[in-house]
Amino acid sequence: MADWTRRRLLVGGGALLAAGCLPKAAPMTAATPLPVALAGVLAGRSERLHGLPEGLERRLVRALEARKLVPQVIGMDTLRAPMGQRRGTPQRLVWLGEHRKGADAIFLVELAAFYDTQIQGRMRWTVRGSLSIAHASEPALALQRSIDTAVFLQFLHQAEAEAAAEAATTIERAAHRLLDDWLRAQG
Amino acid sequence: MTSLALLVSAVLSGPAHAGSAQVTGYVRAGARPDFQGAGATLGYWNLYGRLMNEGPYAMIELDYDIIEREPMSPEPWTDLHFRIEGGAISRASAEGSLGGFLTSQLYVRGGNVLLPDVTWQVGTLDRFLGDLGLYDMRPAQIFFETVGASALWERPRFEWLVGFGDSGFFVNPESYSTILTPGTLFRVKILDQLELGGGGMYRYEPEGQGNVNAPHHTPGLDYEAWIRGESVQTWLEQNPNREIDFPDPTSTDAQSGKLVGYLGTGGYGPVIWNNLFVSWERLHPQTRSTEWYEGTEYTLYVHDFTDERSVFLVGDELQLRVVPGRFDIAWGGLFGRHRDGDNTIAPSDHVRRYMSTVLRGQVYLTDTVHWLTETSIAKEISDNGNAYREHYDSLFANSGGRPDARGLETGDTDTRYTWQGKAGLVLNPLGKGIYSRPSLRFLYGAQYSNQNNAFGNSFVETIDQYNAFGNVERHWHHVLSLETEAWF
Repeated sequence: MADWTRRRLLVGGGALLAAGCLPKAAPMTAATPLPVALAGVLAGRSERLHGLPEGLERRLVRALEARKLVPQVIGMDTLRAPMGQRRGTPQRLVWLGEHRKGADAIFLVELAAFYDTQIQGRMRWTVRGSLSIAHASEPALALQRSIDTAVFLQFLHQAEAEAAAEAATTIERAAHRLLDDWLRAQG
Repeated sequence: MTSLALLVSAVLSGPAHAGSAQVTGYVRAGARPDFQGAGATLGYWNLYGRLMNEGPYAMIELDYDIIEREPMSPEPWTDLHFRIEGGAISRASAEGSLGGFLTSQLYVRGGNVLLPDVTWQVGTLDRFLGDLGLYDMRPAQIFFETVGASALWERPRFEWLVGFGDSGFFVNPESYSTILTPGTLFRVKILDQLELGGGGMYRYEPEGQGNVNAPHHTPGLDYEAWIRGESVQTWLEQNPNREIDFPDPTSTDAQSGKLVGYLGTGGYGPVIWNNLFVSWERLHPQTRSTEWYEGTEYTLYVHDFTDERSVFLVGDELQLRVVPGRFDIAWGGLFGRHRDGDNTIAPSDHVRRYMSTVLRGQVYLTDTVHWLTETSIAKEISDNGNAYREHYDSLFANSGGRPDARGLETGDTDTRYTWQGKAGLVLNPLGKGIYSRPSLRFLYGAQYSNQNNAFGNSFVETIDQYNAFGNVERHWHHVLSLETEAWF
């Protein structure tokens, strides 16, 4: 009786753990490896643009790689001045298309994070922005997804970068859907 | 003041702006099957860790951006916040009425008006320098009870808040009297891994002759008799047949205040962050109390009996990444000392010390499935005699083992020891992190205390021979918890 109970407990526990690793639907993939220029910018209260937090950028790179898209990350040193001058997404996409350095597609991630309020011991931030992907030669036909989510940071010293990192799961999921939709549209 | 007027007029008298509205908030709720049929919390309060010691709670805040903030822009912005909160959750608590909720926050903010990098706030002003998540306490908090106006100047490595308001409605909701409340709070980031903060607030309730709600003191009362609820009786026994001469209250002013300090450090090695908070508060004097004697209700003004109460708190919480991506811990400690210079005779919540430590570890079985273990140990000491009952029949075991029907003690020991342990599975859909939320928790908790039945309960305590339910000596308490917690 004791063994039977122990076995059932083990099976039940195993099933519960396995629930955390349920298989996910396979992502769409490109027919052949396709170079994609990845540019990400993060804005906030200050007039200086920042790059995406490392963890978030890594997740976006993984999202591209999972679809046979070959990410070419454009560094913040290159992006800061032109993206600072161009505040609109269409203008930024045009610039990106002109400076793609051999990439066939451009993937632009624009985020802005703002502190909202203190609530139940946490600091609420809003992370807004958009993700855009297009053929480098047709930036006007970009496919877009917007993001508007709240995150709750634990510490007062945390700022825009931590807020964006906290929203990484939401942003990554938006990226998955956007990339799948774009690849699906490519046939 | 010009900018404040601009803010108010923008909201109240200007054309309506179709801004964007968001709803934010916090919830915790769940089932707490209690093996002893008690109050569904493991222990009395969150000194033993807030986990399983707090009841359900819900908080909803409307955040309406009247003029949205633009990134990288010094343009003015303004928003409105309206918060409702309470613990009355039907089926998870004894009450489910919306009457159990209160409108706790209402304020309008405006930024970059008049001064760059300054946010003006009018309405409620609550502000803190972080919290002790394990305890759900915020020692470095000011203006919790204040409504007024504040200005917050924010720079990348420095922020400074100055505010002024009135705390009268919160301190004495049924008998408002102005309590002027100026205060300030600052935080400076010395290094990326080190920051300091501090501040304080002062409350001043002016003397108000003729105002029944203003601070007064009824002269000629005996403190011990007041503690017993017999001060009118005592006075009349000392002054027979002179009811008409019962002393009139004399007016006075009342003062109180709070000082807070904060040291934060982290971002190196395994240290995610460590928050150290210190606070000292002189509590605001109580205005009055009532006593009934021979069918007449007497209102007693008690400023001088309650104006020496203070609370000193030190709290620390350390978060460590022990095995990156696999195992994190949070370790907290709390020390509190409550003093009452007027009371040297009776146990009270205002005359006690307590200390505790709470350790929580979280193992990440997968990104979203975690195993939580928490333990805590606490010691509470009553500095004015016995306050806790170790045994159900401790009425017969006051000091020296002698029953004392006129004694002021409320138990048979002056020290309460409490140990708690909690463990179980946690599902965190948003991934790893001790404070990742939402959390769906399936926990078991146990408590041992030297106090008998040291948890909220409705057990029969009388040892009267006609007590039909009997008494139980019980020092262990076991609770299951199927609960959720989320910020949204």
